[in-house]
Amino acid sequence: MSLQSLTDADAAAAATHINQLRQAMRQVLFGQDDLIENVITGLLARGHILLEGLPGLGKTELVKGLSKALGLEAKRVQFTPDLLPGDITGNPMLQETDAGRRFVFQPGPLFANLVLADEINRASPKTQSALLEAMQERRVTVMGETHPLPNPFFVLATQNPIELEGTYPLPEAQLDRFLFKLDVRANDAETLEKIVLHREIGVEPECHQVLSQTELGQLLDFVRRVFMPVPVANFIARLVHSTQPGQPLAEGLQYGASPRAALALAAAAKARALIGSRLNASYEDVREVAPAVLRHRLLLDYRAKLEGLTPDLVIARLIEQVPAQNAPLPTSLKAAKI
Amino acid sequence: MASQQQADERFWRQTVHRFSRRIHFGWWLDAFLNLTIPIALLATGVILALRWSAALPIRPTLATLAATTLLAALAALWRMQQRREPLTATQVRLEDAFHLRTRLSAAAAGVGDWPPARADLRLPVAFRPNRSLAMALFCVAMVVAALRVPISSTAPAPPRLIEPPTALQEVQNWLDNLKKEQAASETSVEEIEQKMAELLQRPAQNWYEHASLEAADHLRELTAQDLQQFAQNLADAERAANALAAAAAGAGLPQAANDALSQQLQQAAQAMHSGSLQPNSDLAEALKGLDPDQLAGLSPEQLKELSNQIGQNAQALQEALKNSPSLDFSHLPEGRSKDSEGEGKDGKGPGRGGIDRGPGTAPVTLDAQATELNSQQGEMLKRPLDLQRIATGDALSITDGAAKIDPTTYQGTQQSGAAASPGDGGSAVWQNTLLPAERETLKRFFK
Repeated sequence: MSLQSLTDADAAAAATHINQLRQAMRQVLFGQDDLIENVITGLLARGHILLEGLPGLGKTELVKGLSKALGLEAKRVQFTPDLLPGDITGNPMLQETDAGRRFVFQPGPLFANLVLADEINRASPKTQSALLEAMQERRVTVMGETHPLPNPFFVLATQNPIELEGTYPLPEAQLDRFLFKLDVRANDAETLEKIVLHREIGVEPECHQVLSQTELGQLLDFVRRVFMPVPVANFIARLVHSTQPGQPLAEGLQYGASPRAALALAAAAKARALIGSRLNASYEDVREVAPAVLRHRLLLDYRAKLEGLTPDLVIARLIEQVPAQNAPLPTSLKAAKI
Repeated sequence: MASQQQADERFWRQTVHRFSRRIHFGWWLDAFLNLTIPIALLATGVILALRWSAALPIRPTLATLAATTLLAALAALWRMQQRREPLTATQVRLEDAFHLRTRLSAAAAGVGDWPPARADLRLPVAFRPNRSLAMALFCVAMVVAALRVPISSTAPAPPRLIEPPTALQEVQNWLDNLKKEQAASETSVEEIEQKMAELLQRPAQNWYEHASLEAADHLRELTAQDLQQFAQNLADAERAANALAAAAAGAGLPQAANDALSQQLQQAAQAMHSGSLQPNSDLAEALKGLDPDQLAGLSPEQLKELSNQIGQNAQALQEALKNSPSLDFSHLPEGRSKDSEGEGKDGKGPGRGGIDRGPGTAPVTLDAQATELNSQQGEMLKRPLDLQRIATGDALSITDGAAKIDPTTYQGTQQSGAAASPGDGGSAVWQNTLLPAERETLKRFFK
């Protein structure tokens, strides 16, 4: 079924809501405009986000502020090695009912609209896989009984790039479930000064709800209605295909991006277009979201690692060298200054 | 609003078409230049090979080259058609280059408005003139170099033409002119030609050997002497005939002089008859059996006719040899050439000047009065001289006659040891016979 195309009025209304959300998030998190922009993009694309950064950079505050601004139910799970799957999905509890003693499912912290999985790489693979199944299926099955998760359902996971001893790095297949992997970077001095002046330890920043759940659902619907031109879809396909080992531009890559990455790129590009009040996705949107979408989906080979190559460098190379139009120009022509 | 949208749409579609044309022309240019380089190299090789074999017809070669270039252009057109890019692809290039965020593709699909038209929009690609020009110049330079570079041909060289020695050429020239002017009998001319042919029978490579050159020079000298002798005989005969005619016409001469003239005419006729070069057939017939006794019986008209015939032969001889400066006819009477006629309108007497005078300069006479005897003895200058610029040694005239020798100056045989020139009193006794260099050496010695 083809969706009705987005109208200018829809785009304008969406822009208003998104701007309100952006402003609210800026009141919570100082100096991380790019991070806020990417988080909003990921949410609008119905994706889960993996945040990677040092402790104390505001990852938890970001999630808390987001839940307040969106009026969503948010829960936080601190992942530890002894955390069991049932601890996050919930467990059937034997309860006395009118019909006698029966197992009644007690929902775990996953049953929330916004779940913050803190230090996800410290949980055992078994617990990680339980979370990732919920992320993908948006439902939980316990003892043969399936329990749908609330809608919308977003997981924002964090992991530290340090103190990796005793952790369980996420396998590539599970990383693929995350729409974005965002690097939370340290603040600059100006931002730190602002934080010192406006924040106190132990006092949560104030953040008012700016979007109702209905309005959020409408925004998510708008994103689906953003037009995806065929040339942009072709560009996404060629960009993802160029990451496959053996392709001329895939030097240094052991594994490339999956078709899910292409879908993630399309969804993120649409969300980015809506944020920009545009009715269609564009090559520029794809290029802007490509690092966040692809950086955790590309696996470098040992040689590239030894040479100091990083996924971000490979992605930058791909963005630069994969043209919007695949056919080459004649050699008698050159790019002119516009 | 709708019209503005239509205008924007028209603008962008036209821009896409323009962009597409440029791209396709670029493809055509690529294909054409890629073809022209091998064509130029091939043409260079073919032209060099043809030049090497000395079989290069320029026009067909250039026409073939032009036709091949035309075919290359058509092949490039075909190649461009194979690489034809759809307009949607060109549209993608355009919107990507101008960062239009895919609005052209979306608008073409009916989503959203067309972007506003941009004034003075420049296409995002431009030609590389240096590359194309360099390739074209390279091709032209190759072909031009193939046409111009010096190369030695393998074709057999044309046989080297060896000219006969100059002396023989000169003799041949004399003989040709003699035959042309009918100044001598053909038989006598053919005899000389036969001699020359015998010399030329030797291989041409040997014509310039010392012996051959000597033989050629000898033949030339002999022929020159024969010509001079022939000319002298004609002059003598003509002079004698003229004098006889004048005497018979009434001038009157003593019998002895008349006999001498007859004898002179007879001797000249015999000399011509026995010489290597003989007069032409008409004069030979007239002189045949000429008897001094019969000359006295000839009427003035007959003598005049004979004189005219001799004169005509002499005239023909002079005409034939007028361009032969190596022959010295200075001792012969002048005035044979047309340019030196110098006669008046009626052909008598010296030129009188004026607009109706003869074509040549009037003969200059050295005597106070020009002779009317037409004896041609010593009146005319050897050649027209500017008397104001005459230099010492220039010959003014040639005079026939006995040398004026003062018999009194002869003092008999001289004894050895006697004074050759006894000096008079007061004159220099010692004569300096030293050369300047010797004199200079002596001066330095005695200094």
